[in-house]
Amino acid sequence: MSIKIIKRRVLGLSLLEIVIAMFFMSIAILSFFTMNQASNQSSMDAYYEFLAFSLAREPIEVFRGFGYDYLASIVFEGAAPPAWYKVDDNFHDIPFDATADMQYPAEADLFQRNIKLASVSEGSLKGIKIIVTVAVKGMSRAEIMMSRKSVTLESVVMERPK
Amino acid sequence: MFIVVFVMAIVGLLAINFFRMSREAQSNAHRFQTSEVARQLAAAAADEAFMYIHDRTGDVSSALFKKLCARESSIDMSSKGFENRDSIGEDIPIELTKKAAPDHLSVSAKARITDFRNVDSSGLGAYYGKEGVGTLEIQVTVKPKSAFQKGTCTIIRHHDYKVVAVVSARNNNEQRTGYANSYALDYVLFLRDGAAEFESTRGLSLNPSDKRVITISQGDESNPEKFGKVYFGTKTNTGSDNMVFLNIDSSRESLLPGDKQRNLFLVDGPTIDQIIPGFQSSLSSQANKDAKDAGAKSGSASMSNHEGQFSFSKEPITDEHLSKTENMTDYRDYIMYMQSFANNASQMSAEYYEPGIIIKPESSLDKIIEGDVRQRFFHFGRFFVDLSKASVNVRVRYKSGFRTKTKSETAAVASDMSTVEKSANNFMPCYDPAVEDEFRAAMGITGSKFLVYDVIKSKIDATPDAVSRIDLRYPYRKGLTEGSFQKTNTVIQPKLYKHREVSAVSDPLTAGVPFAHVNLWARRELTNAHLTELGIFNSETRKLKLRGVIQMSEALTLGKDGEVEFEGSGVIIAPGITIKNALKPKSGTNSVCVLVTRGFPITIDTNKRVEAALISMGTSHIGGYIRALKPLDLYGCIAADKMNLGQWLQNAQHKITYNPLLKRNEDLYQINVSRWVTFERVLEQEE
Repeated sequence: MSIKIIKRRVLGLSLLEIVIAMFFMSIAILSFFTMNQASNQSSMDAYYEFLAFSLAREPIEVFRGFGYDYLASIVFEGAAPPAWYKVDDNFHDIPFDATADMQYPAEADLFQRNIKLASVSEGSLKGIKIIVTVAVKGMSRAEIMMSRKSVTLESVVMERPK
Repeated sequence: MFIVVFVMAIVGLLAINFFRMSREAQSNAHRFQTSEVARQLAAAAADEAFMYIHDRTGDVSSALFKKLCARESSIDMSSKGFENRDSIGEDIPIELTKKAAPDHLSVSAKARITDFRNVDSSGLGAYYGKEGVGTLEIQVTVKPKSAFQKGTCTIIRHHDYKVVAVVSARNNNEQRTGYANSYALDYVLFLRDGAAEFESTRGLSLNPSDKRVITISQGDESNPEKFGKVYFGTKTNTGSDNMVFLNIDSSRESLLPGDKQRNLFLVDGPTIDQIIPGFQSSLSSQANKDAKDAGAKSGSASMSNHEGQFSFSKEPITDEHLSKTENMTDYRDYIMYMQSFANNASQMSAEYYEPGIIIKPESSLDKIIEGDVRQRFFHFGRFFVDLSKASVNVRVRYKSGFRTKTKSETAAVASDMSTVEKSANNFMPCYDPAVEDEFRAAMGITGSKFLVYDVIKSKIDATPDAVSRIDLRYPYRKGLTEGSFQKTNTVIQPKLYKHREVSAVSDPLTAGVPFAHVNLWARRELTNAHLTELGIFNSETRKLKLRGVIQMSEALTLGKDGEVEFEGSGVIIAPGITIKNALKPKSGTNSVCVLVTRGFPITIDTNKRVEAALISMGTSHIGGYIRALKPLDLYGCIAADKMNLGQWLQNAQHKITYNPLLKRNEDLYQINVSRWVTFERVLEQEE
């Protein structure tokens, strides 16, 4: 009986063992945290890129709805585009404003957008090419998270019969 | 230790899983991006493909136009089974979209016919030729070039399209076998109610009392295949009362059939004395008078060896011609009254004006005129006494002292040629004895007749050409021989809408209306503002773009501000059309402009050349017609319900020249592809 008690005590963990275990444990946990951070960054990268992409897609959809004639008047006659969609060589903020008619996600404020229009033609077919570039603002949360710093989307709006 | 390993394994699995999930999220984001880019490109490509099709189908010589029109098996899947459809379709170039596409995406588009109907919505009337209404499918596919196929986007859109024949082929040697929208363009002059109008105006609709001359000629006189026809619509489907005539005037003597004049038979002196009962006595009276004038007591004369010549001549019937010869208009009117009496009819006009319509070239009238159009001329059956062999025996009683002596002398009349000639030119009209007697009795005419030739009635009966008549038996042709009369049982009937006849116009649906298939119209209810807005008519540049059939809800005025140039081929249907200046096609093109009103006139208020086909035909007896306020110079054709010459400027020369582009060996179709998308499907392929 006493021999058994003695044996049980001998089987307990030594300090050294615990230290070693904690060492491996900490390596594992550290790896876990590193992976978690990388995953988190990937997710946010994807989220922000998707957001940037949506912000690029929006004016294309709107301009497609306006149609060729309207865009041609902007390109050829210098007509003013809607206030939200400035067409020039500069990047413009996409501010979050809860009272505005146009609503964007709050994170849209982390981006700037540039819209360009160009006339294209092929034979007798005429079109307006829309090039939208959405770039992340410097020193922002999105800049840290995003691997790509800008997204560019292009499309063509063709002249249609009336 | 075991526990540590276990915990590490669990934690490791979780970590790997989480990492995988985050990578998947990133991948999904990329996939959504790719998909969205593909969708954007597909939408742009579908637009571009549509525009390409719209553009190419505006050119009748393009390969795509021909394929669509002919519904070639490579593009038409409407009649194929489901298992055979995938390979069908015409590749559509979409260069602009390809330029905008990123390198890793490929873009392609094809078009095909999914449905086509060549019978109208009632199911009763088949459209002409390749006409019809169909559905065109545009299928655009955007897919990544790499093995990673996720993100492939396909957009399928359907557009309605219409195929309409602006001009349909017509063989000039045959009649059409069915209704064609453009049948009226076969004719340089088509008057749907021409015969009825002619009857109601007693012929004045084509032979007007006031001077209005419409000269109808052919743009290509060298090619009968290109001739525009002339047709005066029939009143009824059978019988001879669909006839109209054009008076023959001095300018058209060459149309008179057969011999212009011919001697028929001779009668001897005693017969002459019977035919002209007072012939000998008047000669004797004249001799008596001359004898007394010369101081003689009395005189008498008798003629022998004289002959009577029956002959005829064919004369233009108009006043301008007959009034040059004494009494001729009286003879003509007398015969006209007798003929009307004999026919118990008053349908023939008493007037003999010059024809209002001149059809050229006269040598080809047989290839131009359809239906029963006749020439009206004066067949002058006549009689004169030939004195060239005659001798006159004159007896004069005179006093010689207390005695009365008689002197007799015989002389040949030929010794005085002037008398012979005078007699030869002294024609007397020859009428049908029986008719004349009846007519005189009915009218109470008691005076002496010109001729009493009952004695030779059998001779007259055997030689009907000896009798005067207003001749209406010959068709309006040149080079006719004697007896080549109009075949009265030939009634030309153009094939009209839904196979109805030209005369059946009691309700709008039964009318012979050109371009009657409304389903083939490209646009309807347009206003003048629409024409500008849609780019059909630019009032500043005065350019008119035609393509297919459009119908307006407002009256149209062209040329207010100057000449109008049109391009393309098409038809404008409007409730009233006015042309105020020249209307001409774009140079170097074979453009065809057809202007149509229904129950409203088309007014031409310019003397400049108008190159258009003018159709003014009502849906019922509303009566369409043309108004020419100035001397008309039309290069095209006219189709109307009525001539209504009163609406044409008086004392003017009007010209209608048939445009050979309207007479084709093959149909001239137009295709209108609707901009509206009737069906759209977006497919985003997962694998």
